Amino acid sequence: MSKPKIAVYKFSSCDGCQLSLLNLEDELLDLVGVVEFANFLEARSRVLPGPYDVALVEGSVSTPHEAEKIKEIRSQARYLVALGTCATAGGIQALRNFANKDELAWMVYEHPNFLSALDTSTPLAEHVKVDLELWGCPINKYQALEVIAALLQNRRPNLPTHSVCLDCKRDGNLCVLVANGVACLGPVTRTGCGALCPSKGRGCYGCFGPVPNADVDTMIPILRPIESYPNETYQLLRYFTGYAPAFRQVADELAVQGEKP
Amino acid sequence: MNQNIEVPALARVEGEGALYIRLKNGSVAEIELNIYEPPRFFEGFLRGRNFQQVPDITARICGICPVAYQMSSVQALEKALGVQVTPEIRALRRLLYDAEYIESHALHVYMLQAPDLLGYESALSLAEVAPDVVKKALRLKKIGNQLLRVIGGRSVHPVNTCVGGFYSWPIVEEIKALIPDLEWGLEASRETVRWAADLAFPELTIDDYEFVAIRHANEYSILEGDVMSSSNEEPFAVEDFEKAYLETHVRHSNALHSHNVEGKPYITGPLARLNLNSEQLGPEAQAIISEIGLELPITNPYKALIARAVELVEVYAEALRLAKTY
Repeated sequence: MSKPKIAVYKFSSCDGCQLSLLNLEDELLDLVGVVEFANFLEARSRVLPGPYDVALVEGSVSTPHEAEKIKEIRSQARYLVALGTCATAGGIQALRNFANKDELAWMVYEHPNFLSALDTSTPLAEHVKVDLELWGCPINKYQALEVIAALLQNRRPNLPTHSVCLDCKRDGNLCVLVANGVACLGPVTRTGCGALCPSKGRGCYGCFGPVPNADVDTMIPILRPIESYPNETYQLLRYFTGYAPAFRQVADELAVQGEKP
Repeated sequence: MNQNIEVPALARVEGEGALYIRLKNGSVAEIELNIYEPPRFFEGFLRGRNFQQVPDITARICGICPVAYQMSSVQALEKALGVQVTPEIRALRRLLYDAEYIESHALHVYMLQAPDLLGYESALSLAEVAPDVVKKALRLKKIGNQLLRVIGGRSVHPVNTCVGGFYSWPIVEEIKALIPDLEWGLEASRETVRWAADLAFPELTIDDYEFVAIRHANEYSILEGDVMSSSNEEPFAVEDFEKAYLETHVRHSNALHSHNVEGKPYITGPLARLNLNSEQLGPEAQAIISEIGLELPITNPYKALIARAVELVEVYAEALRLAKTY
């Protein structure tokens, strides 16, 4: 039996999710024994032609070129996996979706007219059918490994869908929100990080995105009274996963109520 | 024959780029490096954010070197706010930075550059014929990532850095537990330098390089310092950087082009740091330079790999010292 072919691509992103694959130091050499990385520019020069069994795509769609390229990748891939928060929610660069892109461009570039960029940074699923979303900024590398293992075993990947809050309780972390009055998105954020920020004494900033069925509205009357600076709740929601609908809609409501957009 | 060279996507580099070389009568007429990495407008959307969000946001510029962006932004903000950090915080920042250098340098030396010099398309292919070399590389890299995780919670986009210091102190036992690995890593990085010195590098000498790096009065600078250039006698303050060096936006690339006021390019990174600041290296790195008879300055850009390997010795040695005294 030939090895399943995996293709890894980078869109608008920081390389961190692909690097998480290369950070599988203990597993990498075994992994290349059972799957073929047919396209992985960060790691290798050789590119094998498609079609591929799996395309792992890091990054958001933020340029006209990327909007075309994702369709081509989709047509070559049996399964398309969105890798990380840029690919699942547009990433930190999706903050442009709530601002004027041309104004942002003028702040950074001498000749914004040289640039080829869309007005928005959007998740892959707004452009093509996505078979699986792996959240995280960056992804948890063991979740990526689980996806590849599931593929080899022809089963569904087993990925947790509970909130960061539950991990904190299980790990016995002191609740930073209740005990210290620190704003924390743990109750409405998807797990995967291992409750990293609360374990360091700081609030969760939502980098794995909203947990399925997140009740973000309930958090607002809890977070507003303990803000350590004006609009902290709003800024937390408009952050790394701010374009994810559950966070976006509640932040939009706050904006209507007079929060600074 | 006028055959141009086009590389639409460079492999095994940090970031994304394309290379066009136009030939005329057999010689190079024009070179264009197109960094097509899409613009993300960080400087724009940092406006209006709370200052403690800045290190978390700037980290996302690059997943391979997030600590560099965290350290630059917290130091800039501390300067603006008049905040001084304690020696203990400074030492822990050095250790965190050493960890990133270890991870990034091991990746770059063995997995990005070396396959080209050895005639392999990747470290994954190299592993089929020289598994021990690649296993050593992976362990060298892993130790950096473990240290990043112990201090910062995770190796890519660690979460513990803030303006003023850290959200929490790492657990002493977890740092101490890495000492045997750091000792192994120091020896393995010495072996890396010896191995690197024997690689077959293409011949190329560039005589008119301007090397630019930060220089600190008391240490081999990776965290902070003044700006030193091979064109100047004395270093100058970071605040004056933009008087001496400029950025220009060119049509063919999304990366701004940096140059001095005369319009000439300059080079930063391990080659520049080693060439300018080698006297400040610790005894372990000094010893390995003498052992292989390395002549400085290095003016062959391919040999940046050797400079990186020497720095790997330096950061492993310093990480070991800091871990022992933490």
